[in-house]
Amino acid sequence: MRRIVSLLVACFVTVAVWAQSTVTGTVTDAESGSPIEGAAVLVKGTTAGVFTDGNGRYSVSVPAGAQTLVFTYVGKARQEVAIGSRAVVDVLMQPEDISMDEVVVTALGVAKSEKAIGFAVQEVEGGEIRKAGETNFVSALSGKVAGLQVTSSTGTAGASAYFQIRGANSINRDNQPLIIVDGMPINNQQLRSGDAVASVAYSNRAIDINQADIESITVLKGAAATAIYGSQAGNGAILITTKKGKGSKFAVDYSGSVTRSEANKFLELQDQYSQGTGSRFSGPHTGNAGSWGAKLDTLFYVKPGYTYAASQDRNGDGVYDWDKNGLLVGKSSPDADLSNPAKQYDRYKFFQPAISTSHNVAISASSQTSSVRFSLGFLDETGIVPNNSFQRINASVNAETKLWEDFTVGANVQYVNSGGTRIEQGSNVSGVMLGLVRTPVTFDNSNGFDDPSTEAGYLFPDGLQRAYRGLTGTAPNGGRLPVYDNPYWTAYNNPLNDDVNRVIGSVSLKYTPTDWLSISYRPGVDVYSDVRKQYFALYSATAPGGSVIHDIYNVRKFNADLIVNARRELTDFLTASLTLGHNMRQDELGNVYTRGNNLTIPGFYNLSNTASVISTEFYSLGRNQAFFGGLDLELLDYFFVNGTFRREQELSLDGRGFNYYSVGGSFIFSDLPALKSITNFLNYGKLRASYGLVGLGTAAYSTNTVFVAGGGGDGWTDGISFPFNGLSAFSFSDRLGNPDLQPEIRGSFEVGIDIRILQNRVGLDVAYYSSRSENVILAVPVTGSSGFQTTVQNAAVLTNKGIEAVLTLNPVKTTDFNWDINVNFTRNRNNVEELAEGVTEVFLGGFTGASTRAVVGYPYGTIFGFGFYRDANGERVIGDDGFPVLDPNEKAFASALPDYQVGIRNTLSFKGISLSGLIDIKQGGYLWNGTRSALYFFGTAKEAGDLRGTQTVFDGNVATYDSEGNIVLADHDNNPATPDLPVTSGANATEVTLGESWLRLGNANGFFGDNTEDFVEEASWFRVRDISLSYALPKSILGSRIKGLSVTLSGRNVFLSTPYKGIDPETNLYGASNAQGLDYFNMPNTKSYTAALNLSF
Amino acid sequence: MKSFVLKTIAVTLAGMLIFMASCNFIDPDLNVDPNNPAEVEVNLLLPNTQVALSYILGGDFGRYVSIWTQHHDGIDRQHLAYSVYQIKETEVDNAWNSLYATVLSDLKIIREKAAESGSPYYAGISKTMTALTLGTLVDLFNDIPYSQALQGADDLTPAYDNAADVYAEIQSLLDGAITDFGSATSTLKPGADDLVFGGNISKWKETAQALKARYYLHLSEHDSNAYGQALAAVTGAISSNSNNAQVKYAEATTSNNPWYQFESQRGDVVMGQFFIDLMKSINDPRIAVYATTNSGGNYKGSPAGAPITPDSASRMGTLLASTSSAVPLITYAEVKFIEAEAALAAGDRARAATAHNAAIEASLAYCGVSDAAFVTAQTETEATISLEKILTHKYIALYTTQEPFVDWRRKGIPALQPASGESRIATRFPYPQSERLYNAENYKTGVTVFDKVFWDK
Repeated sequence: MRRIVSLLVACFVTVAVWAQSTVTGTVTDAESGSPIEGAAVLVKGTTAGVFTDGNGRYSVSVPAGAQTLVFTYVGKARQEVAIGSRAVVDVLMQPEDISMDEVVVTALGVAKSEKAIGFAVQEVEGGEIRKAGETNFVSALSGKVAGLQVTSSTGTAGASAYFQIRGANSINRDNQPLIIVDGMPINNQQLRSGDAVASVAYSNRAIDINQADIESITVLKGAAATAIYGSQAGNGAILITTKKGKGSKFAVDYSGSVTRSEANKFLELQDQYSQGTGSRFSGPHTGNAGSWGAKLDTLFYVKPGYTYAASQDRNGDGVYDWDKNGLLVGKSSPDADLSNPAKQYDRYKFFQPAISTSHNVAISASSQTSSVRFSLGFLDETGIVPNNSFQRINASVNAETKLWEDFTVGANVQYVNSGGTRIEQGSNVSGVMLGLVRTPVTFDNSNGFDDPSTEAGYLFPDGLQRAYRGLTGTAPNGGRLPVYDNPYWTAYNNPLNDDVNRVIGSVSLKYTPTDWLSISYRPGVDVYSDVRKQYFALYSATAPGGSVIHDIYNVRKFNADLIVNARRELTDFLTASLTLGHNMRQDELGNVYTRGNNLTIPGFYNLSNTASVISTEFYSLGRNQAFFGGLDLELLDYFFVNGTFRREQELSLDGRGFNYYSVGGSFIFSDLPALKSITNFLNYGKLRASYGLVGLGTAAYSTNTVFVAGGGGDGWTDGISFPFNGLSAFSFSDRLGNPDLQPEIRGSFEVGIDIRILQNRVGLDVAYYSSRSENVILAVPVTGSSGFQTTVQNAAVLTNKGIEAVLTLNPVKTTDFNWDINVNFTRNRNNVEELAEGVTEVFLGGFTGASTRAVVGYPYGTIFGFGFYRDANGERVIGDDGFPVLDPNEKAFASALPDYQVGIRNTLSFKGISLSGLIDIKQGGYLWNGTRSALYFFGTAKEAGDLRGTQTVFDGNVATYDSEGNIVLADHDNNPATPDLPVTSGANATEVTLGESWLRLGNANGFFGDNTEDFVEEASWFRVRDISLSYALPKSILGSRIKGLSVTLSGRNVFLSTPYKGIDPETNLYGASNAQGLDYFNMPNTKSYTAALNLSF
Repeated sequence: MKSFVLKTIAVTLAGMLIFMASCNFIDPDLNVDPNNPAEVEVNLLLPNTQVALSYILGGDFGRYVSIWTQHHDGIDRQHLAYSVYQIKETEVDNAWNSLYATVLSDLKIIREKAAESGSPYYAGISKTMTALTLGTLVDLFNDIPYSQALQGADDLTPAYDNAADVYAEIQSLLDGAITDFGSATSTLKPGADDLVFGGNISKWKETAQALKARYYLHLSEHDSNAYGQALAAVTGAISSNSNNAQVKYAEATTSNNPWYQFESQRGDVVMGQFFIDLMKSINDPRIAVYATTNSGGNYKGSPAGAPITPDSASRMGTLLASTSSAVPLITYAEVKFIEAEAALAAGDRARAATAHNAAIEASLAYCGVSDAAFVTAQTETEATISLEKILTHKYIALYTTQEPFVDWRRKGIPALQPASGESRIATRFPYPQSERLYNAENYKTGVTVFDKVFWDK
């Protein structure tokens, strides 16, 4: 209202003083060189003012005595220009944030001078994110930020990615940073619908963010950077700034892309030996599990016209049901067709090239007081696994307007619909990889059909499954089942469909009563529902009777920040800024999981069609409120001190209050008068140091002990769950709550230096940090005779120490040609210092015999399992049979955490052509290759073919035996601190033959995890994470209508070199979870190529 | 200026609103788990204790013990190791923790709540089941935590009680239970929530009496009064098959019998050769419900420690391993066998023979089989009755329960031979890993599975 009045007044005054002098001129955008329409031109001290026209021109009447014109425009720095005696005043408008000093976004979205901050902050441009060609922006950060470690879970469409800043700080709570979009913290859970080691690859909710909307991402790393956020940002924070309408009055941008993906690396399989055992072929109809059969070159298909038994040819068409090429027989069989030798079927034919497309349209408009941006994004991704897909639709509006000169309101609303079809994986008899890579080379899962959806490929004429392990199981209705599902059956008959509907929205009000004070209030919500429906067809291996599962999540987050900012120059040499604020937030998670078992009508997937239905319900409420403050002092422009304080009340801790704080300082030594003289060499030099203390709350309802629904079993079977035969029951929980629980506290210290030399052509920013997490909350195991099995305690201590470095080089810089190099280096050392008293390790995830754990004295996420006996010299102990002897006690092997990681980005640009590539190096870090381990047992591992029949002498020392034939151990005291090591006598010289008995049963003894040691593999890599070539057409070709047009060809993950013997080692069975380092029949990763077009009007 | 004032007022009001809203925002009463109740009554606790206890008896403990008594044989994976007495400490963790942290802990709460509400019937059931659980634990682990156990944060590392003292406590609990069952009234009365007897208190009283007899009998080699006390306790104990104490499972997938679940989900246990051959040698008709025939249509057991292939061995039959089969806690047949043994020891051979014959008939009736020729052949008289016969028939009749293992340890009947390649048969369980790691100060080191419990001389 006031604006309209003032404009009316301005017009009136303009007319009234027409007789006085007139000033004209042009307002131009300094960045693009194009004229700015709609810039406001005001005469200072009066109400007179006009707007520029379409050519950026203005004409304003200036009353006598007026001396200054004020030019303002959204997104541009306000300028005051003295008129003097001029009649023409032309102005170049500079971007708002660019001044003498670079400005970075810090906590609470506060832009601060880069000079003034005492901690490490790193920014990634939106363009850099999009170059990665990832669906999930978390994956796209890989290699781009020092101190940030990213692990994508698998290569399937819609899969999650996990990230961590400066290591793990917590045992049972999330170790991932907080994601904040335009001031609003958002959800990034990965919610499961089933067993963590089986089921499908889920999304983490960061996947909902449309990368086309991202302007930039700022990574706040240490405790000092995030202390003002308190407990929610105990693991660092990722601030996403989305694009807003700015610059020109009206713009339309379109970007579109087409991507082709394929699997980038497989585990190698042997193709020399057939299905069977004892070097004898046993065909699929026998149900034989292994590939320990006859050599392939001794096997031939039967002659045409061979008569099959009824069980081998169910429909009597004369064709062998299990293989359309026929039954295999030995060379000497009279039925053998010697012209038709056994084929080597390609098991990985299952994976298909996948095509993805994306389209984004953004319309933005702005004036001197308002801006709006509307964007619409559409993504359609298919997976390399048949029937796997992921779709996402994003619609967002980002608007801001000045209601009055000193009062701005804004709204940012985004709607997301995402979800897809996900396929079973992992330790799961319905998992794709489990059935696929166990398949012998002599079995074709698709039976020759190229179209994977062809049912005749994986079904028998009677609708039962055709799978390599026969039909040895029985369904409740008497139907016959295979042991593992055929991967094609799994893809088409056991899918999980998820449908996420999400709204993220916030409103901001900002009042600036004077130029040194602002008050802002920003309430926002992130609300989503995730509706999942999964079914298992009748005769599926995991659900023989078939089942229908509905799993519905409702997640709501509310956050409101009230922030008061004051900044005043107190004296010539001291400027102070003070921030005071209040934060309220609430997190709710509701879940209803319903599973119906045993379908009545095959193929009709509705709960009404199931014989028994079980349903569970869960809800949790988390709340937190805080008062906080921050004080920044600037001394003489080159000495800065800052501090923050936050007092929180956390509902999960029964409302107790806790304090968090940080202090920091920086010193711009390049601005010292004494050093100014060498400015030509040293352009910028900064030393910084900070200390921060942040805390984490606990899971809801940890402070009390409740009664839980009855149920249980014996660890071998599914057991019982109540209602039991229609009767409900409860039991006092085995978890003892702790009413005295304190928050987890993490203190973190960092120092850093940032130097830029040679006209900013060389820059180096190095940080060292050391953090210690104490009072880490842990479900401490206790003995059952106490009445409980765990008690919740503040028990563990974890430390992280590390070095981060960012090196920027600009070796060539000419008018047309530019070469930039950007190197990120990350090295973190984590150590679990203490767990609870008497507790030496805590299970994070995995299997009995091969798991990832927190072990005292080892890094977080150490792979734990069984290995071979070692003597006092650390040599393997070899038994009197010449084979290594397994140690009956589990032990710690290696951690999934890398020694260091390096990301190297090279960008070459010549006129409109730009070539950019990111090399990503990870050194160290181990994975348990559980897939290869299991395939030793099944005989499809490459080594099971290569080593079979070879002679070897195992390295190691020979065990000594007592009279009863037991291995003699020294120091037999059962004390875990001094292991009972076997006594050995000299080096082993016994030559042994590696056969089925060793490779299948001895080495991978007992099948799964009992020999973990041989399958803990180094997961280092050298990869070309992304490479892209883009060309922006020159303006001369485009003409005036089109503002920009560029085409980009890019590749993602195009080269990989790794010692890891499985799939791409960037994988994790648990997805985005604290349990990292496990590969057990995980889906392969992908590489992809993209063609993209960007067009703006 | 006016707008400045207005805006200041607006901001102040907004601030006050936020402040007022935040005053009640963190209300500790909201940190109450809405998914799980903070309090439940005794009738909602009882069913789970009964299922949990019987699932251990028909699950872990039932399998381990029946392999050692050679009723069964473990032929694959861990159960193959059990058949040669290799049992790891981690393999008893689940049962130990379940019996303490679920069964005994909840039974204790039931007793406390029953006392509060004046409900002696629940108190009596709790005491009876506590006695049974403690007896089961002592018979397999000897000394166990009891008087200091189940105290939560007050004592996370409970001291061990002498096994003989726990046995005395069992009798005292059962006496207390019998007194409770004799109460004229009970504020809360068990009904359908009692999965054993549907709230029939007189049957519970018989069960408590039967358990007294059982745990006196276990002391036969330890206490010279034991037989006399057992014989006295038989009076008033379970009087017919219809009063057998057992937990019945059901058809619904989540309510299936533990033996059935193991058989259908794991299947690494088959019938033992000794047991099958014993039944075949006397043409025992119960073989048809205790076992299935192998792929060749014959009854064949696997010899201990030398497993035969799965398809050539008989597996568990329909009586005890169907979806809704019951897991017996204590039966009429057992009471009769106790009476027979105790009477024989007292010199009353006639009573011993009569009880022995009644026990066999009760077992056959329980199995739903009848075979007059078999009954005639196995009928004993005052002249022919012997301990050997009583305990051999008890070994057959009490298939899948813990009692044959107790009897063999007491009396060496039947004459089991160690598994192939082994020199002796295991006589107890190792203590669980959770005790070694988390109750280290009280943990008893140096225990092997060949040590004896206190009553085993």
